Amino acid sequence: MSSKKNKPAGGNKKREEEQRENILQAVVLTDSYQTRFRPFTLETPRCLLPLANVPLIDYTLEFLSLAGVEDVFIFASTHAEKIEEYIRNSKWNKPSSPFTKCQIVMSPSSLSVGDAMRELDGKGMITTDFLLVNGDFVSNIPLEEVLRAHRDRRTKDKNSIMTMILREAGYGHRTKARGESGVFVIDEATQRCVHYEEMRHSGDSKVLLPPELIKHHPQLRIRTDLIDCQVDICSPDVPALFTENFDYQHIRRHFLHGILTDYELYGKMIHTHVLSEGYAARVRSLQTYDAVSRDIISRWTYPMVPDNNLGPNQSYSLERGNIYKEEDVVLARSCTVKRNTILGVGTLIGAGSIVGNSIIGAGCKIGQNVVLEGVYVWDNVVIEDGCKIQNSIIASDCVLGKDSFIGEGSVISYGVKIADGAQISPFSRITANRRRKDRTAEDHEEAVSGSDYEDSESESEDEHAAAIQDGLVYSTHHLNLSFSSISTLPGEDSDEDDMSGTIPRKTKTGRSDSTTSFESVDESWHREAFTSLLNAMENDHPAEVANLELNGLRMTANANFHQVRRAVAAALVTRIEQVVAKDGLTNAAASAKVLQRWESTIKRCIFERKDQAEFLLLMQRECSDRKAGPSLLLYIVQVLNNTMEMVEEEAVNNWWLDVKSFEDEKMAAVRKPTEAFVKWLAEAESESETEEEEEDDDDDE
Amino acid sequence: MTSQMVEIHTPDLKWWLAHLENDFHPVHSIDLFVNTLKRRSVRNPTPTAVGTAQLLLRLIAAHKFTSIQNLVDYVLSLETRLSAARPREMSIRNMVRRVLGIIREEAENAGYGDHFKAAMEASQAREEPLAAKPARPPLMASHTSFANPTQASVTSLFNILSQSASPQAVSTANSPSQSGVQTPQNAGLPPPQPLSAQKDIRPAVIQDIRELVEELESSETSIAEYAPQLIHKNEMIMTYGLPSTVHRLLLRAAHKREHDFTVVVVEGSPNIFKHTHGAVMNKIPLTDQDDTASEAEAAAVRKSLQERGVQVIVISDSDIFNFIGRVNKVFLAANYVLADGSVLATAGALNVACAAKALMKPVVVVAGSHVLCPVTSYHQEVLVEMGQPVTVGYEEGELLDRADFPNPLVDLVEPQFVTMFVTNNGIVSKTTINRATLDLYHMPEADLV
Repeated sequence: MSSKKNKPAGGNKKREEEQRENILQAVVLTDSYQTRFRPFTLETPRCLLPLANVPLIDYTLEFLSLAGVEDVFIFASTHAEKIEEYIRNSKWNKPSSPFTKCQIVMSPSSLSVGDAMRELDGKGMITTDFLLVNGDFVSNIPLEEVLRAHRDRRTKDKNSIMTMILREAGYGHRTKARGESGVFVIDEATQRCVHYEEMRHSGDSKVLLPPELIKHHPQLRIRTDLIDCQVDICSPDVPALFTENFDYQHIRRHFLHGILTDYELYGKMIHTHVLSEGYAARVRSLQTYDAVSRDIISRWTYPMVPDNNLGPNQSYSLERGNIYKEEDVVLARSCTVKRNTILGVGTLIGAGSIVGNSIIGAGCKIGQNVVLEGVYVWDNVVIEDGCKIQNSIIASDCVLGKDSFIGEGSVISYGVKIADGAQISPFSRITANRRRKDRTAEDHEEAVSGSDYEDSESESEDEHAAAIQDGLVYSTHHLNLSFSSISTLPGEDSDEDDMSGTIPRKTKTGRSDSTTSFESVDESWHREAFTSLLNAMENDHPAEVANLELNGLRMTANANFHQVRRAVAAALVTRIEQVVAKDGLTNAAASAKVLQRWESTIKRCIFERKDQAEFLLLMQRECSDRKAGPSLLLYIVQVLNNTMEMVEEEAVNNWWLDVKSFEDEKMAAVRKPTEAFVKWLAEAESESETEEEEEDDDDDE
Repeated sequence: MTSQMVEIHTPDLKWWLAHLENDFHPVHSIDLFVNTLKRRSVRNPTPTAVGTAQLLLRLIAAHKFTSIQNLVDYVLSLETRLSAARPREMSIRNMVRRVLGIIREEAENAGYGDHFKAAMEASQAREEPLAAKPARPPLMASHTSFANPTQASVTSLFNILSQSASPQAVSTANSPSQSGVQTPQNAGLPPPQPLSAQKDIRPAVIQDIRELVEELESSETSIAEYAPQLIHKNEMIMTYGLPSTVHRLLLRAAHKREHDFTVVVVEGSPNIFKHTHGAVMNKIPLTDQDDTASEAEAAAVRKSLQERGVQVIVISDSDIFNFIGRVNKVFLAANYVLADGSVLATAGALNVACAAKALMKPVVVVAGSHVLCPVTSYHQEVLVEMGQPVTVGYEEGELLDRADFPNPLVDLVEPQFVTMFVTNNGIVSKTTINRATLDLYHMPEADLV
């Protein structure tokens, strides 16, 4: 990472010659490390999902070739073999490909951007500055100027390690991912990003800026109006820094924030390049999927528009009103195709049907009197007569029976068959792909051959419905600020640690009141910490590593210890449950095992007696949501107090007397079994006190 | 760790020519060019024409000559692939037509005129059954006036086009009934002569294509030569934007005359006003081909209009009618000129043309010969490419949700608005433009409506 300066002039010239040879390389991360596109991503990697009937990654690669990139590394982790197969057979791998090299890097073990970067560093594939993009990036921006600016900065100061490419957009732009927005504090003169804070939409989101910023930088611009596609020109220092800080996962929340906060330590500078022209967006959620689709239809992405037929064997042509039709589309005389629609090859639309604002894939059969509004239908779907569908996504090979109704915001995954006359309630997610745990009866199960998709082991009944509200119903304005909830804590979804993806919200919010459910910064931090801890526990990492990670998380987000305790409590309870389920231990044994194993972690968040009581309260709260909660709580309290002596008797007492611990029924119910223990404890304490007193007396004597 | 500096170049014509120079491959280069065209990395008539001609030159050189029939088939097959990539960029097809014309000429010179004719007709006969395939009735009402049954070379090419991948392609298809007329004639053709007898005409063809490329590259300069005949003392000229052809013409006029005319430049928002502003400041290179060799020369010549004493007035599009009364002549640069004399020009040019017509001002259309297309289409939709929305900034999220913002890139200016054409081959009145076009492609006669 050291930079050699003051080279001899002759050498410089030669170097310049060499420099001319080096064409910018690009690293494409195909994995989002998120679960927003479930259930589709259970079967297909996100980057191969069709966007306007072209796989997402093609847009990214088109962008790269449009910009003149010649060397591409495609980083694949989940479904890596599918991605490899696709790329191998695509035009990108042919001799006529615009890339001289298009290499696939398989890295099934990467679980985050951080992991990918560390792997990149480990393999030493990158020696020059490179462009980091995601496999779901759609853009037509020219890179020449951005790179020139970056290079100028680099020649001036080797410590300018990264340039973030950001696109201006107003507040509440449809293509901006809802629920996450970065606050960039940019030095006006140098375009250097001096501070970054992730902000979540909630009632009164506040961001604290360090006051010394203003001292050092006479002119600052604080911006939240930027679309951040996480497209960066990075120097090789960036992967190296990821290796150095093994707890960095997220490129913005951890890396950027970390490097900026620790400027004194690293001395590295990160700059921004704010574009006011050109298109740049990432398909990172169902909502942005919809927005980018609409941008493509209204040609913002030109030249990446359907009628340029960039995909193989495409034959789209454009008609007035942004209607794109491929060859062999058969439309009944009495059907209506409304504005902003794409019809794929061989699609058939029956008499009296109305299709508008929709994208229909190849080979779809649409019957008579069907109404499709704002629907994304992928390939080979059969929609029989009289169906009504709104703002939904229907994946390939589905069959929708006669007169079925699909409520808005629904997501129907591959190969699902829906019986005649079925009524699918809004915001359903249906997949034919069975998960490890079979679902019990759901209201429309009998009508559906696929099972209702449920998000991992979550307990809440209605959250799989709520989960999509970020999705396709953006247009209803009152839902603007609703969030996807993959809400309660997921089990062992390993590809899930990028928290920006799975924006949680408070559990137990019904499907109708999404406007009321705002998610706080704390909530997201909690979730993140929780996942990271649980991950550590599941993989049996050394406690020190987990502690370090947790501490890192705490520092980056400036979280307080209350939050840390909450996360620890949640993780421990979940872990105990897992151990009970997996190893068949009793609640008592499992509690003892887990708590003792993670003793040091607990210790690091409990300092005073007050903390101990609070910790117990948090434990209780966690247990109150669980079936085995009451008995778990008993054992936990016992182990903590008795076996490990982590919690003093007095703390137990304080907790017991705390109003919060029995304010509602649930809380009261969960602590029932513990009552005996506490009573016994109280007695024992008084006894011991008397004993002590006696001892004291003895001493005196 | 030392990190080397890296470069990036947005692919463009220069990049493509460099590719042809260094990494040409007879198969892959075609695919690459097709994708380059689709990606719009090479766009606009002149660069596309140059790119196509250079590719054809190398492909024909690399192609193994067996017979004229074979060569013609090969060129026609290339045509199908290339123009399917971008049916609206008609200079691709024009270049193929020119090359076919060259082959015809060389074949005739070598005494194989009949072979060429036979080859064209044979390929047409092969296309015919396909073309006549009773698919669903065509969706669009595009017609051609080139229904002359005796004109095998022309119709054959057109039949190919009618099968180009997109049904909405700028189709010049014959109607089925016309194709039907031709079929019986083909039946009576003499069988092609033995192939071994034919001499390789490729060297001559290649030489001619080279000349064609040179002609392309110098077309703007040749057009500029006509400046003295077009621009007179104390005139006021209106142009739509300042495209390089017109710019060069004006520079030339200012060079010869004693600085005595005024140019009213219409900004041409939203698509070209940046280019216009750049050109007014003399910051835009005049052609894409300004290489280092001619740069010194160009720099010497390149005194800006203002420096040559021309008064430049820049007006917005909404002021066209305000100024048109004082103007003597209007200059428009054509993207394409169709056989009937209608002109495809940058969107907004029609406004200028209408204003000029309303006040009876002459409209001079400047067009290199490579943009003269021997086809006609009355279906505007298939000719007009839609670009990305530009009138509204992408950052205005709320606005975007409420409306569509179409942005057609070209206007179809009908012949009634045009007074005359200036090509690199001379000044042509609009009544004879079709003749000039056909001459280019070695078409003996035409039946234009």
